[in-house]
Amino acid sequence: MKTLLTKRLKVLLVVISATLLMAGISAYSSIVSHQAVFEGCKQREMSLVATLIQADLQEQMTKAAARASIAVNLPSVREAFRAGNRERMIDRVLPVYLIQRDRFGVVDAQFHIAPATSYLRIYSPEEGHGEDQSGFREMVVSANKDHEPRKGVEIGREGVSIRAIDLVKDAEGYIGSFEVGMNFMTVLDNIKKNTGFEAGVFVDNDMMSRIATSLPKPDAERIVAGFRNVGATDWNIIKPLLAPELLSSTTDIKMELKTMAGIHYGIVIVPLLDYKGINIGSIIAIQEFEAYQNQMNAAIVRAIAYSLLQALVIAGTVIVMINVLFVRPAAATELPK
Amino acid sequence: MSRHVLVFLMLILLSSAALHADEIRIPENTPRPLKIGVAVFVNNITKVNDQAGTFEGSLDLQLRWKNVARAFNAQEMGTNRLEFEHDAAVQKIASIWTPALTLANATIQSMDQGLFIYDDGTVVLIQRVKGVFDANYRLGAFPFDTQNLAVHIVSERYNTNQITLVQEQRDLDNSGLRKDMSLLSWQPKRLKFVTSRTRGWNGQFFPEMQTQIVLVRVPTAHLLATLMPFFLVMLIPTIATFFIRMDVDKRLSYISSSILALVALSFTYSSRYAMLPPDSITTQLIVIGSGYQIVMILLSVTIFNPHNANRWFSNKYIIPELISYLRWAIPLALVGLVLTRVLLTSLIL
Repeated sequence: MKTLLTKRLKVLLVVISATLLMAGISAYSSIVSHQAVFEGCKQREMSLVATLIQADLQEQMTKAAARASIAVNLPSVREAFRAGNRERMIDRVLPVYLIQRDRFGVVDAQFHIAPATSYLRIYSPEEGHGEDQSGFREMVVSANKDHEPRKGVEIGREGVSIRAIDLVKDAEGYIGSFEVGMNFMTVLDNIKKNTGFEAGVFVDNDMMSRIATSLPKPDAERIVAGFRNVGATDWNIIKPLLAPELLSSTTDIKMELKTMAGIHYGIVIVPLLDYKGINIGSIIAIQEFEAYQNQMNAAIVRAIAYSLLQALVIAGTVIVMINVLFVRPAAATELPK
Repeated sequence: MSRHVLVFLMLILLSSAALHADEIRIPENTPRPLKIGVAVFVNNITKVNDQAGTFEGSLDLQLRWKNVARAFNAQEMGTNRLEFEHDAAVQKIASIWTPALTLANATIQSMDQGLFIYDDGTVVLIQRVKGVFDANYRLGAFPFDTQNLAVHIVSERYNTNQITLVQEQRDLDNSGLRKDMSLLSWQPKRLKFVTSRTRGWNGQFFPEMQTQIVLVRVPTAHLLATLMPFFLVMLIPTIATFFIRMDVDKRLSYISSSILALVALSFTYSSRYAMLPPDSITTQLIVIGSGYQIVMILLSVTIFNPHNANRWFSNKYIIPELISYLRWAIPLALVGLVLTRVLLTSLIL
């Protein structure tokens, strides 16, 4: 009887260990492949958001260029600019600017003369006449020097915006340039509306403090790792997920996964390049990946459950067959000795 | 006679004129669509009724817009904000334009209103609403479900070309759930906002914003109330089949009493959780239990019936080996199956 029990135990231990090992390998392989699928989905979603951000920035630049082009081609504006009649320019452009500001996200409209001297700020008509901006508005300098329209992101006195500059010319030739700047909130709202990601724009705080002097001093909490948040769809969601390493050293698009309070988030960081391609900050988009995580956990539960079922059935069948065919008959023959 | 007809016509004309006088037109000198900032602060949720598909609560709805015609000189007035409350607010609101937004899914029990007008023309209308709200409960993941209880803020008068519902950071900052809000069996989590539009009877689109109150159900009590009786019902056929030596007819009578208990449990689940969908955890438990009972009956009349078993199997060792295997494998499989279903249900969004 003792021999029978020892043999049964040996069979039990060996078969259960072997089937558990195989079931474990099978579950692990299934989990790893599911993980790869879900990681791929997350990466693809984040990559899509990065593409949308870049495409929307380009679209806003094109819209700014279209608006600038309309303004510079109005004969009345050209004539007034040539005549140096600021009042008439204001009469022509200010009503249009107010509508564009209130309805379409235009924040900046300004006439310059070479090299980058402010001639008329439509957004603040009483201020800044004659200010030489060549120290910080290279886009304006470049447009007025090369007599070529320009598009891009740059920081001005009123903050960072998506800009386009076109030249004002008449039959006598070049007069100056006109610039339109679009609000970043339009881009951020589009990201949220189209993808569900919360988004924020961060710009080098030193540059902002030095150049954007028309802006009030920002809240201390809006400055992270030397970058100032200049707009966000929901700051309360973005703030706790920000880490200095996310903002610093952003030279290329980064996609990160972060877990906070048990919730998984996908974070997309798109570097914000000025019109020359120099990094001045970043656009960050954040989304909860709870749905992916739940699906992944469900896949893990299924893989483990099926593997255990596999082990239970296979081990049981093998144990029963070995005991019936070998262990018990052997023990029965040994018993008379 | 003709005098009476004339008086009647005059009355109709006057009432029609009064109707038109009531309608205050949207401010002329504002950009279109006029941006209406929406903030919602939930003060309390008193009752969550998933059976009836409603919830009761109190919330502050804050609407903000700019009407430069309402701007005033702060120095002359001695303040940069005019404040109206109670009757004064009602009178003032009746005399100015408001976006006339409604809570489409609410039966309002009481409403207090307050009004702020700032020197730059910003108008802030605050409505403290207490009421019963219709809600669409998704109970597929019960008792691990998370509910997004919606408050539908809709414009029925102004279309998407006239007004738009927005949320700037200040609106988001003014929105939220009261910190110390507590609710039996539920854990309030956060507020979510979804902007959309609805199609009116005339084909025009009207702006809509959904405020979703995210509540997570505390599953422990429901889980115990569902699983404990189930396992107790399953215990009887398990013990009778695997762990007690008895005749087949006696064993079958134990199993049949357990089947009756399972049927009774099914009725209990149906009446207690009437709101649950057909593929809920309770239905799954009844299906698993029924399958388990069928397996028990089949085992009782085959392997556990010495008369049949000895006839079918020539090998004398096979029945004792099968019994010793099934004794632990079948109950383990049942527990594993129930646990897996429960875990998978908890992962449904």
